[in-house]
Amino acid sequence: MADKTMDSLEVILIDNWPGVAKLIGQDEIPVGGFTGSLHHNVAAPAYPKGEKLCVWNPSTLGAEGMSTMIYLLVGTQVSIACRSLVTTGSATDVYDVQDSPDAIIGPKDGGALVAVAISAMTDAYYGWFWCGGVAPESLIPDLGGTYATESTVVAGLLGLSDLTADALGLAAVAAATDAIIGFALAADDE
Amino acid sequence: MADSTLDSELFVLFDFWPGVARHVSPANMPAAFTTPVSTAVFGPGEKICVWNDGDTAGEDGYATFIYLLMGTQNSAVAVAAKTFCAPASATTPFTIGNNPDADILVHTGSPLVAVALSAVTNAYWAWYWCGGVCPEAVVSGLGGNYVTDNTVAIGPMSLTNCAGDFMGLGVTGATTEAIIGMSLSLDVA
Repeated sequence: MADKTMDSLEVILIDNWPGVAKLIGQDEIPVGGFTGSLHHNVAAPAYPKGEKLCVWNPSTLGAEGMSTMIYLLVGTQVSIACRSLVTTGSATDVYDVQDSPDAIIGPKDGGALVAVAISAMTDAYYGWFWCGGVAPESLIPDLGGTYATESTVVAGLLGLSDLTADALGLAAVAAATDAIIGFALAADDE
Repeated sequence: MADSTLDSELFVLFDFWPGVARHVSPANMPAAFTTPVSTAVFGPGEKICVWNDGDTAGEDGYATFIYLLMGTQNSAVAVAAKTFCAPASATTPFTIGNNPDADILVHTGSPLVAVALSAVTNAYWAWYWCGGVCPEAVVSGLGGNYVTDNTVAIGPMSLTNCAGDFMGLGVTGATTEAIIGMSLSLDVA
């Protein structure tokens, strides 16, 4: 079945990553924004792996609401870009993520630990990823737009899936072993 | 099927207990953190979140602890470090037990799961690990093997009633079972 897409405004992510996010104000966002070069896509981590920050997404772009960001390490990727889904790619480090459904250690369908890249990333570099709440488009405009789905999404529970295009994407939760990683406010597009 | 085990560094727990944990630095953990007491010194269900330093033990990452009351534990299998517990009272979720035959929630699939840090006396209060990576650097007794029902695969896990008649980890098997964690490995066959 051909893959489809759904709009960023229709997706809410559920954060299953370890720990509790720190609630921050707009003036406490990392220097230069979440894509700032001092801490995002850097070889040496500027924050602890797994650090989570929860921040308000104003209505400037996207849906108003809280968003959660997590600081992760990229392993060996296929081609991470803004809006790529990633998940744990290491059996020894839950914060080491990849975008290849064929290389990740977790299930391609139903994995529980999911994050969304906010830019292109370099292998073995650290950076911020969106992992919970509404898409923070006001803070990272490139997160706005369409997200890949496997064409099964209806309004309701979202899971992780291995798409026909051999990439990680969103799908309806189809089995008891599928972790719930989000909520769709609408069906995916034709 | 014979039970099996899964190493502490190979899974993370999801915290579904009520409320939000407050962050605590490893240097500011409560005094006598692993010693149960007969009179509560924290609120029932209070939660704290602390960084586990992988250079000391286990994996880097955040772990969440919750303050709970032990009800009547399984007389055949006493609570010890690494024992899985679940709510055991019909009137409060914060009174727990480790007896899969006596707890009020279904033994297989309970979303509220806590792991003991040490032996606990009935009717005593104590901290339990309930979310994130295993906090081995904070509580060394949590490192090592955790019981499973020999069904764990890489992916979501649930609480289950093991052949040994205690609660352990198993693969999620039905829509009525809550996913309480993510395994990074198969259990030891």
